[in-house]
Amino acid sequence: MKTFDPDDPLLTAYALGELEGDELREIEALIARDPAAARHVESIRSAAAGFGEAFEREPALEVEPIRPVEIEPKRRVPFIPWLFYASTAAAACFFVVLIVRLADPAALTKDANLAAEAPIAAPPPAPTTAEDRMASNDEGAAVESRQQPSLFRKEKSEVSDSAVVGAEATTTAKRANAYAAARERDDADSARKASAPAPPLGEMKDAAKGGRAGALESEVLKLDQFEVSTNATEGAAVLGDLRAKLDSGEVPQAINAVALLAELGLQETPESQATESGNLAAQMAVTDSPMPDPEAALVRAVEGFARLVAARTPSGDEAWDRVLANARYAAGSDPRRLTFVELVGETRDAIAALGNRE
Amino acid sequence: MSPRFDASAAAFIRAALASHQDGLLRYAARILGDPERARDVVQETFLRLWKQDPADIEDHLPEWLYTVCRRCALDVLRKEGRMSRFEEGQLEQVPAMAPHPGDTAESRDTAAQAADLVNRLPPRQQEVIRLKFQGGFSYKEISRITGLSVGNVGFIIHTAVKSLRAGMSTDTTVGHGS
Repeated sequence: MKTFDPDDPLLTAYALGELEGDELREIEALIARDPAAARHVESIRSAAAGFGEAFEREPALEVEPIRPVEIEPKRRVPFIPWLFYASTAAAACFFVVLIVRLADPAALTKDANLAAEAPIAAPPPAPTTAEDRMASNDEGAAVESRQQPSLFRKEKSEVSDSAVVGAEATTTAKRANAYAAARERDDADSARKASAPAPPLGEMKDAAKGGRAGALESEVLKLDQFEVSTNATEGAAVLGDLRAKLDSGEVPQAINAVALLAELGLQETPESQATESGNLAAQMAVTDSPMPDPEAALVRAVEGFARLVAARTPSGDEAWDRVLANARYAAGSDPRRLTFVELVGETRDAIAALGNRE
Repeated sequence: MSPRFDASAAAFIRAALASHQDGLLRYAARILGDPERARDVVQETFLRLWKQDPADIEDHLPEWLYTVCRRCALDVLRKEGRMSRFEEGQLEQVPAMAPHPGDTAESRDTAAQAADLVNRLPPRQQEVIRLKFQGGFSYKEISRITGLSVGNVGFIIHTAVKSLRAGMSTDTTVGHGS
């Protein structure tokens, strides 16, 4: 039988109407037989009413109220298919030209000389395949390719040979732009860092593989600001950097870095690493139950994702499910974190697609 | 997840804004110590509300709003490197608020006394006690908003109420004696 203890939190909970079930019956019985307990509960209720009244009288903050117009989304611009495709093609042309020029700075000088001598190129034949269409998107680049050293022509050929489907490239491009924008918001030094010297030519070439040149070019150019390696085989160093960023609260930057790794890792990670790293990923990626707090879940998701990508872990591996579960849990309603969730899902799909092609 | 712009959604958001804006501003301001930043955080909270399907959250809308608002405010602290201060309990003090025009001197004194006592509580107790008595949330709802266990919420409220009652009693005694 419960006895009266004025320091019993259950009496406070009862006075505030928070008890139910057995605890409620127990306290009701105590109050019925002990007038001191009843008086104590009544005094708590009285004080609580006073607090509530005091809070109600607390004046509003001296701040301009939020107007509905400040939180209402802008009306959507109607989707115009031809305009969308035309602008996408124009953007693709721009990026291909840009990466070609950045990949070989000497070409900038050569261009000026060659342009005067170059015969007018005959119009290319009408595209018949997806690869042809991609190649023909950039007439300027095509002209340039005929004027560049053989190294560049080889790269151009690789682009065509391993071209990914247009939808995939478009998704990647949109994502890359979103990351670039997010980065500029988050990093006060982004402008200064973005103007840092271009990364080595080898990274540019790697970025150009697989028809993702436009999307990856912007990633690679800003790579140095994250101080992570583009070489997915240097997993330990990369993860160390990620851990440091996460520990210092630079979660968005870490996510961006992993996104980049994901893109690059998919293209250059040797198959031989897959099994061992994949097993490690399965251990790393969210094995705890129940769920930790969201920030810890995010750390696990990011680390697990990096390992899964570096290992090119098969999309059917349950480690992907755990990473996704953690990422979703950590995301809540945070738009950027939700983008990370999307990235994990898309990468898994991309790995599945690669597996199917192979 | 894309923003909607239909009449029912707009009405839902406007009603939520009208009902909860003041409380959320106070809540965020207590965490951030800056009414203007609190306004930004609350604005962000309602922007996120636009992305939600009302059907998913309308049965626990206040709880959802306070949870998101708290998360956004803590994100701001984290970005500014003030998170450790919050976690260590050095809750910011909001600048003095203007008195309500209709308040009498006596009621102002009582409210000011209670507010002063609450402001002297440790930050975790302040947050929970305000969610309870200002926000009107249950122990379970406070648990979901703050991530604390229900038992812990109960203990914190019990401790805070005990301190406040003792404080009111002491202040009254001192006031009568002087």
